[in-house]
Amino acid sequence: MASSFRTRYVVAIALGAALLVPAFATGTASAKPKHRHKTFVVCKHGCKYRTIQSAVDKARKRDTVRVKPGKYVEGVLVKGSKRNGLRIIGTGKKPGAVVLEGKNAKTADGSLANHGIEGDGVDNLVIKNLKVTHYVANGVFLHGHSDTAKSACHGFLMKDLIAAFNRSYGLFAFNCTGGRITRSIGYGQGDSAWYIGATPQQAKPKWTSIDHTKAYRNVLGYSGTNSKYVNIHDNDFYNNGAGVVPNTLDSEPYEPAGHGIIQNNNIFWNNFNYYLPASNVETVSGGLGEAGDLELNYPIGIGVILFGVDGWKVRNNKIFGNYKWGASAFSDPLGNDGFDAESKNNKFTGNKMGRNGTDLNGTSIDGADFWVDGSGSGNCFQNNSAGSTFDPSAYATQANLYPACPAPDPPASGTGNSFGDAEQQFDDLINYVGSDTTNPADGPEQMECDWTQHSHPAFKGYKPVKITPGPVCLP
Amino acid sequence: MIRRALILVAAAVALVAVAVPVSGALSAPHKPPKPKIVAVGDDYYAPVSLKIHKGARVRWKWNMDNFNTHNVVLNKAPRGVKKSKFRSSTGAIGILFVRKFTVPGNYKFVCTLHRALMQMTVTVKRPVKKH
Repeated sequence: MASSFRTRYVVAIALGAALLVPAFATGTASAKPKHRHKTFVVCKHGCKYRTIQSAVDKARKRDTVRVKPGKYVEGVLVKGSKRNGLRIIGTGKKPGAVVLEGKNAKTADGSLANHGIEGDGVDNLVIKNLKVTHYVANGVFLHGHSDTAKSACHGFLMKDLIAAFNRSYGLFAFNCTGGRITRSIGYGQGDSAWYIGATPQQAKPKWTSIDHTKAYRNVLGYSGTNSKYVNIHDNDFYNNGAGVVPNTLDSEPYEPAGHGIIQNNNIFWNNFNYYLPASNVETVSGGLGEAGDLELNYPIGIGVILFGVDGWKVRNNKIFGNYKWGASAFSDPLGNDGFDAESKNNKFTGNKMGRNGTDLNGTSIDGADFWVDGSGSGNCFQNNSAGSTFDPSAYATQANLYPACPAPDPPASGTGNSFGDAEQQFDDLINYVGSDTTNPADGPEQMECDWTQHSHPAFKGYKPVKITPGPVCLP
Repeated sequence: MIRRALILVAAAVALVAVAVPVSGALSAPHKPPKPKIVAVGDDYYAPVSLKIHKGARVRWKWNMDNFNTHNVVLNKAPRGVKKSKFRSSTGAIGILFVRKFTVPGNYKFVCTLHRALMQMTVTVKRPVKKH
């Protein structure tokens, strides 16, 4: 019995070992990539793939779709983790050589193509060197997986892109964690050129960078509802309705917007009155809501707006030539569910305002380099250029409204009580952005009537935007 | 003879002429009822609950003035229903999405971008058994 047992034991071990060898061999083999990364070439004539979508449908993880110059009238959907790391690259000498055109673009089921490229639950997607234009929603739209609540789309790269005249956003990342938009140009969007929003709270945040871009002639340069962990640096935001606008709204998940940095940017001439009939850009938004008989519109003439955000740093920017305010911070004037759209813990430091006095901000009624509504707490101002102006209130001291950093404990830094003592500030805001719904002549274009306009010294060869004819100002 | 034959032919033609429309009317495919419409807006579905008969269709119609991007995704479904069959594309306007409901039970839909605000239920009634 013992011998028999031993024999069987030895045989079993030998067999096991024999089985293990192929197992290891298989293991070794499986360590190698199962899928050799392929390149799919797309062109209008003479290629196997004539649409970008047909190539994307064939592609798998970390494959490359190379798109030759031409106009592609389609909306491309990149779906699922099996396409993580996919690269879609225009091969032209300039981004404008490969155009994804939204006019007349349809999806396979006959729906309007809403986006030039949509990434649905794809990580590390790379899109480079092409133009997306005229889509009824967005140029590029990356979002978390639509099948699950799980966030995906982290680590994206959007580089050397042009986003032009898309109805909502140019380059748009929603519910993503970490990524980069760089060396891109956005103009003509009905909302913002760049948007990072609905960012989940993260214990170890993955940051998103927006850098070395130009955004002009959009309703907003940057917008991000409930935007977090975004470093916006070394960009030019100019000639938009407003320049950089992180914000908190109930409509999107993961309130509030928090922990962002706006640094080393040029933020100037954001006086684009797209409300005028002669503008070729119109806002897609219905505005900010109503207060009594007043409809509250998106403001124009402002460089930076921190709208109900917590913990943003605005530092070392050059901010000039914005007629209403250079930089501002306020809470949602209508309040919101849970009152978390509150302006707090934001720091404005080291900014150079008004270009040494040659191109001032705030040359308008109640205008200034800096403006706050007096709500919230923990906001502070330090080492901004000498001579910076701060819009005063008759009801709160300058030291309370615009304290130095670090901000004293609440409630001393603001009123600590939304709109309490700072009612005048609230009125400044409402009077500026509000249109009287009982008077059809009182449209949002009237905001321009508050401005004292001035000429702008040349900057980087850019030209300031001016829509003519201007508004017929009400008495 | 010829005249009699002609009369027979004419009678036959008349019979066919009468018969075709009648039989055509009888055999015409039953026109399916119009689908129920659900509006997809910023940021809502309307209505948020719908009761339909087995075999009925629902069409989700995106408002043309939408600003935000939305979709319709089946979150909970009766056993045997493939969720992936009930998933629209994601966009702001101009999306076609119609689905036929053949399995009775409760179907819960969400917009995966606005889960807290956009949810709705479609209840498909069981057919009444005839005794």
